[in-house]
Amino acid sequence: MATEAAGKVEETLRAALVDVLGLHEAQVADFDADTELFGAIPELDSMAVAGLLTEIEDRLDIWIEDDEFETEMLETFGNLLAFAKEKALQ
Amino acid sequence: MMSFGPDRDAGILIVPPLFEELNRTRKLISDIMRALAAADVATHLPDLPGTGESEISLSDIAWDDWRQAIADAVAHADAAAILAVRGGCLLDDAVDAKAHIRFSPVAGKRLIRDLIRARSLTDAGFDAEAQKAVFVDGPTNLGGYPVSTALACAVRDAEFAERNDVTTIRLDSDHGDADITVTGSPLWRRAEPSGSPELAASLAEAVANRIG
Repeated sequence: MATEAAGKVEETLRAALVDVLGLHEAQVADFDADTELFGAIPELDSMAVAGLLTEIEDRLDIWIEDDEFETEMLETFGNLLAFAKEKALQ
Repeated sequence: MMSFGPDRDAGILIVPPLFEELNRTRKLISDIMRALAAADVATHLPDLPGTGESEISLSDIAWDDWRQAIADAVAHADAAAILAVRGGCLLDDAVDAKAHIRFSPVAGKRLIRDLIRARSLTDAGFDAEAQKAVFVDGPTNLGGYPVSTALACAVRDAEFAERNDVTTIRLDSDHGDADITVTGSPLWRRAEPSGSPELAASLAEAVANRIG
């Protein structure tokens, strides 16, 4: 069951990237753990990242405290996914 | 104030989104205004004091100045309906209109947090202490706007006015209660918003139906 829930978090995250940033589904489907996000994708400027986080909070029904928020978690898709899983599945 | 459509009817006053979201939704809003004009509905879009064409600096602006500006614009345009978008939904309480429509209302707490987070991503010096100072020692540059402490606190604490006559429209991916949902993307998040003719058309249709 844990795997299924983790898969759901990943699916939600990819959908948020498509919807918020207007990226192509195929592009986001190719993202792996090492895919660089903030600073590497032009659509991901700082306002868009902030919006993406808010969107993720809404969709996963989580709340990211200010002191939990680190820029590292936006460096790669893997980091963001790991953070989202930790928050959503705890 | 920018107006579109026939001048004979009272039309709709649009309360724009706040701060950076305003810039990112300009195209969407002008597309909605054009679509409503094509449906013979007039719309009016005021500049909030301290933004757009306004000559006052935003750092001198208080929350009540914005509420008053909306009330004045409604009176000036003799608007019959209000369409408030995103953070603008926090400003629609000072007026009475026949119809109140809110599109994707966002809480002030979230809005200001997005702006603070956005700056912290690109400015290492904007640390936890500097972020707290937004509310006690300003003005602070947030998304290109000098936001005074009073305004930052007012946005953070702003609540949606409880009204019985509000129709809430949201995107289907949006969270929260909605009377009507439309298909589309949150263009106010996009770094380079290209607009969306489909979303503008759906919104214009929903608004025209509501006031018709």
